[in-house]
Amino acid sequence: MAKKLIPVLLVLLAALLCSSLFAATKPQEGGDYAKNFPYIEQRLLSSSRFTTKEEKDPERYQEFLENYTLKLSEEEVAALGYEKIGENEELVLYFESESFSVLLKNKRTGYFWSSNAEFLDESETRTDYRTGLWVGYVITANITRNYTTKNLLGEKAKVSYANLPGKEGVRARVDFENLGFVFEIDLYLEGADFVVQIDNEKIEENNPRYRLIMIQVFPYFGSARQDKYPGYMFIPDGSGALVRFREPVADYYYAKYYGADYGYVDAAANRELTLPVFGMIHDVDENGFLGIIESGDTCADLSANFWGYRNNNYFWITPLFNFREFYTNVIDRSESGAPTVSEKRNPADLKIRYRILSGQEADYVGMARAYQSFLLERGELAPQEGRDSIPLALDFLMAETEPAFLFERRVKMTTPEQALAIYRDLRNEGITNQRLNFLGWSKSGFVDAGPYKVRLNYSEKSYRKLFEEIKANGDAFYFLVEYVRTSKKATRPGSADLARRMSKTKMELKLYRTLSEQVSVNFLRPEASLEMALADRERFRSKGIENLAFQSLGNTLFSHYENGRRHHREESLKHYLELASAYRKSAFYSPNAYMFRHASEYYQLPLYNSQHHFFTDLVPFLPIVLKGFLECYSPYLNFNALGKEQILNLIDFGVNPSYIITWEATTKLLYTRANHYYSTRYADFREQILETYHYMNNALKAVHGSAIVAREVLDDGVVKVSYENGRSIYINYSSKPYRGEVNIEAEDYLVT
Amino acid sequence: MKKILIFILLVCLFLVSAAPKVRADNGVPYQTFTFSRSQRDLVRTQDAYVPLSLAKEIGGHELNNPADIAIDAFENVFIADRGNGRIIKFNPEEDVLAPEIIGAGFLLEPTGVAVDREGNLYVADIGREEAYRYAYDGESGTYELTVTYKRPQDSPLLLEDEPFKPSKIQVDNGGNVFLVLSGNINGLAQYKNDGEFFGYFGGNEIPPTFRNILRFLLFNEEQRRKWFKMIPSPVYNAAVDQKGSIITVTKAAFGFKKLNIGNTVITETLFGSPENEDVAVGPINNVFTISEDGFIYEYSDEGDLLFIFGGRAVTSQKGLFAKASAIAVDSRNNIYALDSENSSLQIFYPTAFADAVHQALALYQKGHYLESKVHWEKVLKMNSLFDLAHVGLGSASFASGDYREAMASFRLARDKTGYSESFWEVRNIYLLQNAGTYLVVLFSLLALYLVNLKLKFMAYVRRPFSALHRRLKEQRLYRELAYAFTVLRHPIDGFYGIKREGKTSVLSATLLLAGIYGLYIASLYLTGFLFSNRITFEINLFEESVKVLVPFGLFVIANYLVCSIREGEGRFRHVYQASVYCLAPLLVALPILLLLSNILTLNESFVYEFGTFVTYFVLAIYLVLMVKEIHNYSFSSSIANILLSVFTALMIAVVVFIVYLLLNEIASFLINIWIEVRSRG
Repeated sequence: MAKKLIPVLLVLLAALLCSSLFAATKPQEGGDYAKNFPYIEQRLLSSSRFTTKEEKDPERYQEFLENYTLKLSEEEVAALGYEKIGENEELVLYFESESFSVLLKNKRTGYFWSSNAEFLDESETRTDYRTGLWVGYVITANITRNYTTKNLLGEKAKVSYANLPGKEGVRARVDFENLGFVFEIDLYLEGADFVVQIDNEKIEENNPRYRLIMIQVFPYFGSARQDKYPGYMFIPDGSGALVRFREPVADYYYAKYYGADYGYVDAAANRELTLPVFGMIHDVDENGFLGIIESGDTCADLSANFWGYRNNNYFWITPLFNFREFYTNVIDRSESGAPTVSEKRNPADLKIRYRILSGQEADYVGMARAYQSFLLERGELAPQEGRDSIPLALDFLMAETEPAFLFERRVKMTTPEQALAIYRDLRNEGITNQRLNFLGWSKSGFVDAGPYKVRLNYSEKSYRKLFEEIKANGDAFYFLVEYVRTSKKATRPGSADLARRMSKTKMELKLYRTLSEQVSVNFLRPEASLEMALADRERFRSKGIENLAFQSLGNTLFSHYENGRRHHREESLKHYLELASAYRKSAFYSPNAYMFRHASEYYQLPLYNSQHHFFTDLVPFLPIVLKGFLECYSPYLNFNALGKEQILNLIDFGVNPSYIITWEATTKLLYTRANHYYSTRYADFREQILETYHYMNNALKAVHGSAIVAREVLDDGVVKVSYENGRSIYINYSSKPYRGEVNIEAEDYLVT
Repeated sequence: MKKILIFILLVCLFLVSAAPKVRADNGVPYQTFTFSRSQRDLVRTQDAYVPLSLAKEIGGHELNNPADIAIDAFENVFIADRGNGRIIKFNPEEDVLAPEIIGAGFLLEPTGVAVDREGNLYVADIGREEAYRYAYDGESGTYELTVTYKRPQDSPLLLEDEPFKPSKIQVDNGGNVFLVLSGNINGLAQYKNDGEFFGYFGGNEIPPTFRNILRFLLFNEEQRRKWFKMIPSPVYNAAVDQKGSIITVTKAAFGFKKLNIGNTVITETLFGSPENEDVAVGPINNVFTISEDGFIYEYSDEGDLLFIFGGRAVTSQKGLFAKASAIAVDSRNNIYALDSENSSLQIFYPTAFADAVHQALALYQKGHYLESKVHWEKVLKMNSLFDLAHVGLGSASFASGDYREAMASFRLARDKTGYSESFWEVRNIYLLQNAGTYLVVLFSLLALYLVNLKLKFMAYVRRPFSALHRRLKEQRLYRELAYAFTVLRHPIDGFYGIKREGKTSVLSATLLLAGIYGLYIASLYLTGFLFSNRITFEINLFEESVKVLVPFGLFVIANYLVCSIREGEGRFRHVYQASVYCLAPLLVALPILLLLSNILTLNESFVYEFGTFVTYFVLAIYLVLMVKEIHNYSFSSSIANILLSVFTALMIAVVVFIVYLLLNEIASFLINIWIEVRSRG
């Protein structure tokens, strides 16, 4: 009996040993820290942090086709008071002058676009639903609030129109007799585009009692009632956002294109619209349009409105153009005073181009492709040559200053020799396509010290050696410059170089770098920016530096006051464009659309949108526009808190990796102003850079220089991106493998 | 410290709107901050939590002014839906949420909800002025109202006219029920599980500030209450942690307080929001608070601030709140938070960075320092300036005997206790290793001393130095400077010499002052880390001069002025020279203290403190002697004159400040006129 027990005992012993061994190794692996719940991931993948699956409910779709699609014969159109004013192969345009409305027929799909809110209830009798021209104004005698007229008939406006010679359309003259405003508005067709144009010079303001401040043309163009339409509206917020017509939202979206205008406001915008577009899809893969603000973008705001806000039953999206904006007429040192508007009208002409999309074009990819072709037509973008590997961007922080007993002391972070060593090391590891950017190269310092003096922190010789090797390998390098923002810390600009707000006070932006350290950012007058940059051109060239990376030149645009004149930001833009064209093609950090022409690299591409609760999807609109034409890079991956998810996101969006690097330990930056770069040491990141780069390169090298033609969500967290060269990349964000038309491992990609 | 707290109060509001735009965005509308001891400030860190979803309804049941939230051991979520008078229970794992409604039709305004380990539900209803226990039947999955926690009858602890408004409810591991009574200053009302009132727990005390102590001494309780509103702040909300400790938050108090069963405070945070609405405890005993303006704070078990994020919703982004009301955390650190104004539930999930921190912290708190090392290193790779990780690494190095490395890590995090302990070890090892050498040196010195007693060979060694001293003494300046040591040895004679014999000059005094000032600056840089509160980059010539030289100068002037009208004999240059020479003890004390500060640990800090005390004491005595000698006063009138001088110096400073203010006003007035003329014209 006892003998029989021995093997049992032995087995038990062995099991005990094994289990104790297992238990001993477990905590070291860190395996006892449980992963998050699967349902959290499931919710994440179907949330607005990703693009969601395209689904049409057949029943509801039928209802849309039957009850919420305009089906009008020529006679019915005429009976509604419309007159045909233009026609080409793609579109037919009808105009109704009394309420200033248009109907646009897409000949390919037979779909009607209306500038009015259609399918109104009997109770919805407000005139603004049916008025195609809204005008905002102030009363000169008491400029404290603004008024908007959304009722042409009530204002006794006279609309007359005549054919536009050489164009399929008309020139309408709208005369607001009471208010004294007269507009000449051109409406015409151009291929698949419907264009609305207003010449600023021809606007008349005849009644001194009123001052024009704003205009909106066809605000309800393409509006969608409640959840009846199987589509969405597109907002170019960050990388791109969709609002699907699903549920009522007691909110609205309003933002200025190209960010805050510091001539008027003193806080940064928390919504970024870097592209002057907006869009609407009524029926995915059938009908949609992209609105492009071709002119007047510098004075345009975007207003998106949703079903559910104050009894509104429509989703509608429209730009509005500011002719004058409110600022404070400062009368004392504490900068208080009454709001006012300037006498001068903003100088921009207005031009909106509605590009009508039909069939497969009618989704956000089609919109991005439409905008891309628009930019190509105008030479803003040019095709890019494909290479066999993707580029890696490295921003080297060379040095920064910290306070010392007397004045400031330089904290060396990376010498040119060390930068060269890193560059060579990465080349040896197979990263043969690099972009090197030098930060903190100037004796002036780095953070808040711009505009920098062109005096190098380390010897020119050591830099030259670095430059030669980079050039010999066919890579590019850039020196980071700052010609727009400055601060008290900067020594180069004089007080005459600083820009002033419309209120004549110094333009200033107060930022909290840490909780108790407040920093005031000032701005240079655009002319001063230009002068300095032109003066520096020779200085840079003599040191062998020809390419610059502009930190805020591409993403800051403001109006300003100078010597009794108020300059609109349209004028600032002219100076900035002149500045950019004075140099070769440059790198820009998060530039607005107007800088694409001068850009060779797009750094710090926004990967997300501002995550409003009403956004239903994140879409890579901006990356799709630029992929294959302008090289785009991620924000510094040093600060990626999301791990693999963000790497897959970059592969999905076709964006290249970017890091900020120092040779020395980051702890040396602790007491400098650059201490918000809290993790930078090369030794800490070497492995991660190599791993991430090669992982991404293996996917993206197949499609380098190629444009994205389609993007499809196969399942929650599974995306297929198709490229022009016939290759496709499948991305699986989920922690479960995907089994479908292809097999993709968990949190991985597949290139076909 | 206080200054930073006030900053938190003031600046939190601006964080969202004014913070510099994060380009390295992870798609969140806020920035995440942590407290840095080394920068003595809240600084940015990697994003720790990402907003996942925002829901205004749960499975078709719309929320209306939701007031509290709780999560049980099975991840079931309970929401006190105040406006609808019900409790909503749901499990987030279900694909289609089919929530269970509890207490509809009976509850009026449920504002507090809690669950115990068995799944029994506790509800505080401020509308019905009662709290309830709903027993959970695991088999049928139903809830039955079994116990009512009522207003205690005939209790001396709750008077007739005092209100009884239970707003929140908590239950500890032993089944004790705690009610937060709105506005009640005595603390939480503690009940036995069966509904019997037990007494109060965890009430706040009146903070022992100087003003309050004075009032305590001078007035009786009724006067204090009536005249000064001196009553403790009522506890606003509470939570029970994994160990059964009670955590309370109070409006207008920073952060939270953690109390053990014995009703004593074991942890109190320095940093936190003064507007806390709710507090919750995570799986590793990490404490989360949420403030009315939507900021979520996460602390470690020991009360170290880990992360601050969130904020007020200026625009309606996910992750921000219009008016946050409650917070709960599930077993994977997912945060569930309610917004009472927007009537919504938001869920946040932890990022890879937060996971790494939690993982390291879990091991660290259990004392597994070595195991935690890998994880702290991972955290540091993501954020090299994360102080807590340096402390963790330091502890790991300490545990493995790498004391020098531990010192470096603790120093980076400015953790003095850890540094001191590692330094003690390093010093100990050094002393043990070199004990032989030291003994040899000591004995040979002793031997030399004994030999010297006999042979007097030191006289020969000293001879060249004495000769040099004699030669230099012919120089007047050297003589005057060396006089500092005479003053040091014989202060009374010394000051007499300054006044009557002209032993010093203005030049020598100025040089001496410069020397002492230099020594002081050197001591700022060289004082050992343990005994210095200064960070080198903060030391600035201008600031130090203002701090040291200006008061000295003011004193000299004031002393001269005061004494010249109070029959003092001293002339201005005498006062100046004597005041400088009066500082002579510093010439000896500062180097000694400097040396001590570099070889002592916190264990022996009393030596350093005693040395500092002696220095100040001697300086004070010299000062009195100086005034007495220079002005020929009696002892008592010297002291009176010193006090008067200090007062006068203060007055001079005040007058200068007032004049500055007035001039500023005038300038302001003129500039305003100019601005107005310009804007009208």
